[in-house]
Amino acid sequence: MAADLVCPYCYETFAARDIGFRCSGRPSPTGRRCAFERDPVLAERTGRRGEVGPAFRADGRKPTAVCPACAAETTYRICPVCHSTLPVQFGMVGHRLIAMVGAKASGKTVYMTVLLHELMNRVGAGLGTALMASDDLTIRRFGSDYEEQLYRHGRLFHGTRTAAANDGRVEPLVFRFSRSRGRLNRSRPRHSVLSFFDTAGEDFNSRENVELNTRYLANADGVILILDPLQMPGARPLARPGTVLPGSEGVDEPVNVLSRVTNMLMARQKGSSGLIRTPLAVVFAKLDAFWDTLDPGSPLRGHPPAGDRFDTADSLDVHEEVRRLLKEWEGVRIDQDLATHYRRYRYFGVSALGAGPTPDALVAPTGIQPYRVTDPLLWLLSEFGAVPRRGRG
Amino acid sequence: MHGIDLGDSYARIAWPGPDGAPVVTGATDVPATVDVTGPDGPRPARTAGARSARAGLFTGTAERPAGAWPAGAWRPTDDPFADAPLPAGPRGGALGPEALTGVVLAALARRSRECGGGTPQEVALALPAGGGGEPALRRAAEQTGLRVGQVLPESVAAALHYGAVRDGARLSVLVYDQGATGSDLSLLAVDGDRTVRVLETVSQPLGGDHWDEAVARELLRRLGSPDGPVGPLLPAAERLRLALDEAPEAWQRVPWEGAEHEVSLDRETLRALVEPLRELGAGAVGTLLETVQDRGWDVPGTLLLAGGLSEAPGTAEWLEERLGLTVRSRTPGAAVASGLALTGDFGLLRVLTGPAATRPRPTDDDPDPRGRDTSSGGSGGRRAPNASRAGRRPGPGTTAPGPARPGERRPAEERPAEEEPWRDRPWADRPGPSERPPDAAEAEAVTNADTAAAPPHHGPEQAPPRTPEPPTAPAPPAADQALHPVPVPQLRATRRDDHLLLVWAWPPDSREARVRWSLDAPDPGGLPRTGDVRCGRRSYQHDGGLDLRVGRGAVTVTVAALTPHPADPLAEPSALILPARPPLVRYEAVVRRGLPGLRGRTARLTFVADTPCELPALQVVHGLGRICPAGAADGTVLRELPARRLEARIPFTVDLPLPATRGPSWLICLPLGPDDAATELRPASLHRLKVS
Repeated sequence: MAADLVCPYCYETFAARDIGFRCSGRPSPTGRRCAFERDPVLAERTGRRGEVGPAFRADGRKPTAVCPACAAETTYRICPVCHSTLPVQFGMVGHRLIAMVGAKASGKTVYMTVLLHELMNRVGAGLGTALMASDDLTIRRFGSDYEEQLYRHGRLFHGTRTAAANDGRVEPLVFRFSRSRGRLNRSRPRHSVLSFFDTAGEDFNSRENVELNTRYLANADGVILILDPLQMPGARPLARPGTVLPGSEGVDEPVNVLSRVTNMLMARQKGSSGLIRTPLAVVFAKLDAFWDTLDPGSPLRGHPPAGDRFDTADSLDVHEEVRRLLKEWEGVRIDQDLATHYRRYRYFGVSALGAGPTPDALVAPTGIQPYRVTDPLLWLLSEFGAVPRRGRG
Repeated sequence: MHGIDLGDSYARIAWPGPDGAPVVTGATDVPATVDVTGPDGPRPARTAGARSARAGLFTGTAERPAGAWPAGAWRPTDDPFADAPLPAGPRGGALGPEALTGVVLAALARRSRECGGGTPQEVALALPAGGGGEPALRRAAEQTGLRVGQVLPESVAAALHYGAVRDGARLSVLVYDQGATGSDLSLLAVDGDRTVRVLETVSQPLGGDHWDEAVARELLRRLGSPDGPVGPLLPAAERLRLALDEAPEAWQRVPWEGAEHEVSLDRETLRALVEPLRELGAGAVGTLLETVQDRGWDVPGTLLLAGGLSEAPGTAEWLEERLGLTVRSRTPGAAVASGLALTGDFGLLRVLTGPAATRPRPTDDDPDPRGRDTSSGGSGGRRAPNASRAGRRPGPGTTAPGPARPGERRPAEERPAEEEPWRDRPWADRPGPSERPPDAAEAEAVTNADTAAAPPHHGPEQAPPRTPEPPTAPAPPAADQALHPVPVPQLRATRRDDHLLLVWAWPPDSREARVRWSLDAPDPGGLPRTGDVRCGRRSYQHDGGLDLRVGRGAVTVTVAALTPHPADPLAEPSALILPARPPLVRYEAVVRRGLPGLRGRTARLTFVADTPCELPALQVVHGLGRICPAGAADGTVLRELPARRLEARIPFTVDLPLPATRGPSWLICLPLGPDDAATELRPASLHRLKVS
């Protein structure tokens, strides 16, 4: 069996023909209709206990199937493992699973929310791309749990629920990323399914907790590792005065988080080179706390290039600048670990909010001014060929 | 820059002190009247027969004696110097107004040196509310060896003193300048982009001399000669009045009918004596406020006091109680000189003179011979009878030219050509005859010589409908008319290359903000010198702030949110003044093999600057490893390059041999002086400095 597909919800692998179907529950041409019922597989794997149409097996390589019980045609394709409804055209368009990991209080959820918001709005418009939620749950969760909280109410998030507390599950947000290709009136869109899952920082504070996310990380096409310089002992004294520093309770040093993620990925790595092939975007967040200490000519203080392509030269400049900063921040070990374990990795420096939050965990009154937040994802997408790049490297 | 206020009786000079606050000489240190009869030649003095420098300068008529009235103004009925002949100069010729002014200016310069202010080189001067006499004033200063940097209306200088002209602050204020011979009441519309429009000016021949006359009459009464001439007692009356500024009671010995008499005066008596005069001034303010409402202008809520007479104790309190306005009085006698001294560091300032072609209101109901308004603008609403009496102001509706009194404002079409403020400013907007309606008298000036190429900026319409706006004036949409610009809190700017990211906190009820900026110098890349954009709140949130492309030069940015409620007139402005960034030099390293004459690998370093600049002495450092070296200690210094001049966009290249290495290495350039901030050295591409 060719297992070339990965479910964007449960990250299990399966072959295209194994994709299942779910009856729509609407009346068929014969007048019969299936009753909605509880799906025990869906409930077990995702925790969703509502009543849905019955699941059945058919040739998953086709976009539609006929329900054997009521003879109604359905387009609802489901994961054969978790029974989640798959995005439209899943298996027919490219799909990329992006895992987002990082230590506790490193700002992963804020970063993910701002990243997606930027892709849906400002950056997406500049790139000529569109990002749409692929399912109702993602629409609802991203809208109410993430975007509205941060952008409308200006509230930062409480800690993310750990996988252990969620019966070993994570709840990814699944989007369809579309980009027009071609020129003039012959352009045609190219779609990719992007699955983001936000892990709790506590999930990376011990080897056992990391194991809970093993499946997700091992099957991810790209990993965004969020590191907080404010959690680095060498960088904390350099932060702008007045910066709200994260507490040390339950917080591990970034290099230790990297080591655990690396160990887990190494265990699942199938290549013979000894290097991890999964591209890793190493993102140093909350950079606004260090702008004052950066050289005026630093790429991390420059105006990010605009355009409809990923700018490789600018990204490499940032990469080298962050590597230089690691020396100042006493984080050279991070660079050594990455250089010796990963085939493709790239440093990024971002600020999701553009300014530190208030002490009561609110967005600054001046609003949200993201800086370079989309660079890591665009680099990953450019590595996959989903976004064109300018320059080599 | 030194600021010089040439008053009727005394002149003052000010300069920026160590803390930036102006230092002003004493109120009576330097008389503004010149005694030309002394054996040592002309000298400033407050003696009988001394001639006022200002009077002749700003009226174009013969000088007046000290202690008397400007020509053409109402004067006491028994002024002993009314027909005094023109004085003869040291060589027998008559001293002109410019020469008299030069004597006063020279004395001010000496006083500045004595007080530690140094020798004035460049000065800012003030014009009376009428605006005439600027060329003569400039000539007088230049003949004294002074360089004239600024010439501002006295009311604008006073507004600067009070900090009323601030970036981002849009307000309407009254300036009440009470001098020795007259008072000027000016309505200023201050825009948030350093534009001040003198909308209206009312001049009254009502000053300290009239107070002195009232005091002199009281002295006559006490001396038993209520019908006697006041002239001989005027000097003593002035001294008594000035002494009451410092003490609750004052004494003077006066000669009268062959004997010395000691007379005294207290503040209560003075207050009672001058109450009718103050009422006249308050009436003029009230009339002007009515005019403001009639014309739909912003009603001022603040009155700023200026002039020596405003130093009189209780003036601010009396006016505040009488008018219901907020009256600000902070060393009003020094306000003009102090404000002028502030202009040196103020930067761009635009002064527009508002319409003057309005007609005075009927005065039939005003039997007071002193009247309430001598302004041709007539916004005070009442014409001064003495104007027609003097034969110079035939009355409303006439356009007969004639010299104006000090402090009197006339329509532009009546002014002599040399008095047009914009005529001798090549950088000012000069509307042609066909562009200027015959009844419009708007003159405008940009008072910064650095802005020679800048187009005049016009803010939102503040003038009455009769005043034509220049074609470039943006017409505000009707929906905005109910919105008021208010300062925004937490305004911050972040420079990113030649971009500027502006962020601020939005007032809750604001959905749009007006953002204006001006560059202090032309941008070498040709970016616009000024900008004015509306930024919607949604757009701000969508884009994460407002991004402006302003280059690397110094820039002033003002942001005002548009809200349904007007701003507190005393609120702090929301403006930023960002200094220029040093010239940028970019460099790159290219590694080559086998260049002629050089064995092994060579590196070619290329330096390019966008503007001419000095490339500092550099170290070329070669470092090994993945991490770019941060200093010379992180690698080997291959060469030291001496400082040299770089011309704009002309590359400077250096070839040097590169040591053979294994693994990655870097070639970077570092200034020899680590704190050398005169030039910013930056790699064209950081990652390309990794040479192997």
